[in-house]
Amino acid sequence: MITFGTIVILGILISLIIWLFFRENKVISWILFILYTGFSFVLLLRLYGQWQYYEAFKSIIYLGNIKIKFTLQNNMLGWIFAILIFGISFFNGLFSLGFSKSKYSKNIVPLWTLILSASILILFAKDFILFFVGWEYLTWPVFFIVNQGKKKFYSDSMYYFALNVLGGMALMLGIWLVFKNTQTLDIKTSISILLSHKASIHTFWLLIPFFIAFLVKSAAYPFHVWAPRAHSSAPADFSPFISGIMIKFGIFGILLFIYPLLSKGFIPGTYHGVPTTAYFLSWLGIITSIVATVLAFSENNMKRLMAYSSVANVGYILTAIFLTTPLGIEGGIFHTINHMIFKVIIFITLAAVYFRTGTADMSKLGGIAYKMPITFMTFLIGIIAAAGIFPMNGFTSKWIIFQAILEKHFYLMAVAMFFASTGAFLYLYRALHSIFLGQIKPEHRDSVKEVPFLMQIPMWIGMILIISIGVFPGLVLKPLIPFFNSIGLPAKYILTSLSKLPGSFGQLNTLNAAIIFGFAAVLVTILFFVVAKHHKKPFMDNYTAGEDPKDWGVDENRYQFAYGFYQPFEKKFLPFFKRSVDMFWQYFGFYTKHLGEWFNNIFKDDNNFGYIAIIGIVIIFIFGGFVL
Amino acid sequence: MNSIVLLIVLPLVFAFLIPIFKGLGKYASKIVTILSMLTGMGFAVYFFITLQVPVKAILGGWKPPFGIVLVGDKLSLLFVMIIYILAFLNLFFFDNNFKEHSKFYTLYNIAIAGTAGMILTGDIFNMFVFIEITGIALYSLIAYSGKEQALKGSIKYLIIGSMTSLFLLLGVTLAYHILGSLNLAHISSKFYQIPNNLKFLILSLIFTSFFVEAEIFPFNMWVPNAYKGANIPIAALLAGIVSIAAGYLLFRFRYLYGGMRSFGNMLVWFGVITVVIGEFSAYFTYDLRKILAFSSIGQMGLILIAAGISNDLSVYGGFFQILSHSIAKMLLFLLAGFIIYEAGTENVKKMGGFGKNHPYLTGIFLIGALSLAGIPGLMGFWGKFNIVGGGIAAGRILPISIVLLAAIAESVYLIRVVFHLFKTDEGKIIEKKKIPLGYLMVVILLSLTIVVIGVYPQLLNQVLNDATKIIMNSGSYIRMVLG
Repeated sequence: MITFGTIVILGILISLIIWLFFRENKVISWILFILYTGFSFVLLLRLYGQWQYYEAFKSIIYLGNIKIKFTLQNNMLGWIFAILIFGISFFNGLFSLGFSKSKYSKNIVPLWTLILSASILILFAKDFILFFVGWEYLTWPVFFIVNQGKKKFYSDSMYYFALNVLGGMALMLGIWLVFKNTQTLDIKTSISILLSHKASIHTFWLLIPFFIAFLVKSAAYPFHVWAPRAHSSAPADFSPFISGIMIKFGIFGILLFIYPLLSKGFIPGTYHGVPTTAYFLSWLGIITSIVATVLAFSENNMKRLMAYSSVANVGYILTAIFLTTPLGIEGGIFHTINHMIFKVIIFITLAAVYFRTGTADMSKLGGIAYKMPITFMTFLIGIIAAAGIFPMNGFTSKWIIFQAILEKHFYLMAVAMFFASTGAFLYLYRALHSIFLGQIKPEHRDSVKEVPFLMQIPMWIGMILIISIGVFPGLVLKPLIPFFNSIGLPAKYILTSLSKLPGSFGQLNTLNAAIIFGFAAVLVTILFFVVAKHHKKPFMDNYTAGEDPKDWGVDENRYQFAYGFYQPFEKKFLPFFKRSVDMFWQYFGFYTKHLGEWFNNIFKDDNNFGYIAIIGIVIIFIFGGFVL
Repeated sequence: MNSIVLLIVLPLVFAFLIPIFKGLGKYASKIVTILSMLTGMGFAVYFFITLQVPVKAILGGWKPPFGIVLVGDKLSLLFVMIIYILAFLNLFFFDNNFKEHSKFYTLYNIAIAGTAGMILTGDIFNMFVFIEITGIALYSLIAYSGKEQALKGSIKYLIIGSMTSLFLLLGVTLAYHILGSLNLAHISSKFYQIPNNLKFLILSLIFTSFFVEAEIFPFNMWVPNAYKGANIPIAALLAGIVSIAAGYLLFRFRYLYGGMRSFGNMLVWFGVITVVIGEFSAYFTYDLRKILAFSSIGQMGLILIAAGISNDLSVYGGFFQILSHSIAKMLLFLLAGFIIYEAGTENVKKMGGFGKNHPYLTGIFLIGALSLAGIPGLMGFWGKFNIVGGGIAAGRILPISIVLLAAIAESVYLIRVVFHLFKTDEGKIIEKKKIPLGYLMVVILLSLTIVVIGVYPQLLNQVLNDATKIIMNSGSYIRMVLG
């Protein structure tokens, strides 16, 4: 059975069929989407273990004298990404099927299907051209999904598009630079040929285009500006995909091409056993997470806030990967997978809130926990995981990342990362409070209720996954053992049982910890019911602590913390973090436009520059001919 | 086989038949032109398919290098064939400002004959004549719509065109004075005898004229006016057909400048300036026709870069680029005719709602735009990708990087047009109008070509590889023409 070819071609066909015939019918198109992702998921599942499996195109393509036979090669890393992508999209599709009944739903299935089939090309491409083909198809469909044909979303989507086209162009440049040095377009072969060359500082330039391409896609500093914009403008049920999957392709690219080169000393110079370039990039990851964390403090839009959280998590992943130690890679990949799961879940709950309330501004929300208990529970578990607290999955991978940093004795890095990680508490719990706790808005008192069961399915699955991976990290790490063996992870870091987390200072038995944790939870619950005096109060009988809200200039109905919650903190940090990078890209666009105007003026009717230039050039030729 | 003369003579004959037939009815001259293009197309396809070895047509019985010779090899016949096919499809244009008149069709035929002649001829003085013929036909065709912009464009084109054809003539005369020959093959076989600075001078003088046709900065002052004012079929003719001939000449003269790195460098940098100016100007403007015009400038700049680099990869990519650009640009201009008619404006920002009326037509526009932007899976990708590859293989990393940066602007303004077509929250409702069937078929055919070749470039692999070999290997051409 031809797996990859089937998935790619089926995706393109379904995309076309939906666009041509079912553009207006959201239900049919989402059902087709669910069938497609489910079918592809099953097809991909059968490929586990068959790492030699490949599919080659029949015909050969010539580029000048270069002969290329396109091949899709099964590989562990691509496989795990693909399984997650199609699995997550499947459940996201279930959610969207329910979401499609709301007026906020947009028909985005054709483009989404196209992206999914392109992702297969990226993940399994054996040569750079196929990789590039898939890469470009991650860019333009998302532009149309994000702006939804609306003027107000245009500039947000353009941030995404322009930066990602920059990445695409850089990738094209990089591919040909590699070709110039290796005379091959095959990814694996080119890596081994590059490594056989003598390492020199010039090789650094070779990698710069790839850095740009992959860092743009993964929204790392200073390219993070597109992430909050794209997330907030995109349809609510597409944001999970951007955060969960789109930005992970950058990580995949780094793991695929940059990590093998850097870890083998492609660029000379080491610092405490870590290649110097990689060390600096590790710090770039730290900067990314700190900047994103600080920016998230001030966000009032819940989707933008979570987008910054995603950027911060990408920062942790980059830090871990660029340590270029096996343990770092293990932590990086593990955190990538965990982040995929919990961030998708968080964004799905946000979409559920949006589905019922129609707003993404946290200051307009509050107190809907009792109205949407399942959504609330899911969100709570999601942000606990995002904050990296036991027993959720976010903890396990962050644990390994910290171990990896400490193993190298980079204490400053660990402290900086701990700062970012703690900062996550500040904004995540503010989001929890502003959206779900506190006082409910009068207009939500009667209208808001729990989402239908269909939309709850992904939430249940997500909760189960988050907790079970948190308790049994081996569920993810054990299937990955062949990959870890291939990158040379020492035996002491490889899991021996489902619940023993590896680490440089010894193992952590998550199951034991979970049993203690569960025991404590049961104890607290019993105490809560037996000992504490508590009685139910009506919802609006709120907690003004004896103060009259009017004294504070606040309406009785609005008693909200969301707006300007960390104001003093923001005043200190924000001008530096936000203005600098955002302004840079804004001015970049501004001056590009002015450059265009300047060039355009050359062609104005009253401008004789052209004629003068022509005559000048020809005169130069004529005299130059004699002078030369 | 002297019959390849037919490819030039047929449209000329039909051009002079049109005044005779024009009394038969309103559409008589159009039908005659369609007939002319169809027969030309038939002959071109027949010659191309049956071609085993390169053929030459010796005119007047004077053997080369003395007389005029027409050369039909895989490359020139391919390009002539595509010119005829596009010229035929172009006749199904849609333009509400267009007034039927026999003059138009006469000139159209002459222009096609001229471009076919530019490609087929193996004699540089003859080439000068064909450039002049094409030019004169185009000056009047651009002015045909009678709009102010068109007249301005026409006058500017006339001034620049006649100025540069003088330079061309000067270059041809110099070559003739030194080598005593006008035959391209003969000149290229002896060109090494000339000192380098004189070579450079002759080539620069000749190339000024190519630069006008190829819309290279600063020889492209006429382009925005002409594209803005001229009727849609003329804009499509300039972008789709004349550009093929101009691109062809840039590559064919590699026989002369092939070994000169200095001249190649000059071409590359002219190309880079053109790309940057074209793309950023288009980025600034919101006028649909001007966007397409500036985009043409940018694309032709890329072709010039490919010609300047002129290694295997870039020549191959350059041919791909010539073909993909002309097909995509013709498609976009044909679509622009209908879009402008229905939206009632040429301002891209005010076209919201068109996409709702005609989603499939806008989808086709998207295909053309993405192909120009070089998105994989479409024809434009292979051209751009290979030119970049060739440039880097030749070690010209700086120019290529600049071009790639300009390409970002290109992607942005092309996708911006599609966004404005698709956008729904304009509030203004555009009245839906009926699409003519023939026009629709042509548009679908062009877009299918872009997609099919983009997905399956093997269709062109063999042909373009042969063409690349012809360009890279001047010896076989010289032997074929002179032997």
